[in-house]
Amino acid sequence: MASTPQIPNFDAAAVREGLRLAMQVGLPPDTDDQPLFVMPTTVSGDAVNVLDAAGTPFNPSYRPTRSVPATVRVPCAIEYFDGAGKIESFGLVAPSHVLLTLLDQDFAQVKGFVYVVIGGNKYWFEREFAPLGLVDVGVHQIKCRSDDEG
Amino acid sequence: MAFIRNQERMVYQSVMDLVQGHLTTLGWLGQTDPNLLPFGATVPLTWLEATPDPKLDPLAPNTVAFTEGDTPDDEEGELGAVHGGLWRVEHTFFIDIYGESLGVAKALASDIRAILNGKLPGTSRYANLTDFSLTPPAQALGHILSFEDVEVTRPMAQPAKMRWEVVKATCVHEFHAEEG
Repeated sequence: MASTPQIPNFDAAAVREGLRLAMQVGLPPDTDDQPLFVMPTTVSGDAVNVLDAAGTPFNPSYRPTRSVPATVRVPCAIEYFDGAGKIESFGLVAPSHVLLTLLDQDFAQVKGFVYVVIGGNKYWFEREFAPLGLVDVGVHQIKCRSDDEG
Repeated sequence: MAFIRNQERMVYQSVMDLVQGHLTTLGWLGQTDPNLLPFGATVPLTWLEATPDPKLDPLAPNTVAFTEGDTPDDEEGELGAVHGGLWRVEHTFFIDIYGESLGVAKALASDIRAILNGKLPGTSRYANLTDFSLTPPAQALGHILSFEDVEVTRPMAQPAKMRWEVVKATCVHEFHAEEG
């Protein structure tokens, strides 16, 4: 969010409201199908069992404690893409990805999310593009890659 | 001590049974309670006998896909094989692992690799071929399987796909048979 308006009488709140409405129009009508941003899970072990960075123990019988991740639903624009096919030794992998566009205030609520669920499909955070702006309304675009779940 | 009709299929089935059996012993397969899966995994394994096609087919976390590569011609293992000697043929197997996390993918790949190179208790680089045409199926005499070049490859090295690991193994099938 910009700290000072760049154009006199620019009504940032009205612009945000209009853009959110446009985003909402393009989202699936069923709330359950709309993007659900899932924040990181906290995995905690104990003083004895070592965990790797993903929270997986090296002791096969030890189960670390996992917190229930927080979830946030904010309006955003969704664009679906197919990745370029790439031949590998075991076959062809051509995962799809989505490009999400969020307004600054909404982005602040989901920043740091691990994956987003859209229509029951999981898309992992991959990268955030350089932020854009509409006068003093910030715009953020995030690329997520499909988890390949049905 | 002879060629068995469809023995190539039996190699495939024997190796798959061997891997599944050890994964069951290790707690990865046959576990109905996800809380009892090893290494803190939370999703039970899905076993496929096909190369995953993530774009077309649903692919759940902790999917293990067992597939076979090309099978070359039989090679004579010793002089005079034409008259009832030793033959050798190599089968290449790919076990794709799509883990719920990088740690679980590595844990599965490590266990499967150790199964095939005989490092875990109760495992061996050598295995019997099962003659599935018998009732009940029994060890095929004069046939032996051994595993070579058991490797883990990570074809998708991008951050988003680091959970995909592939165990590749060459299964050498040696058997006695006459030609014709």
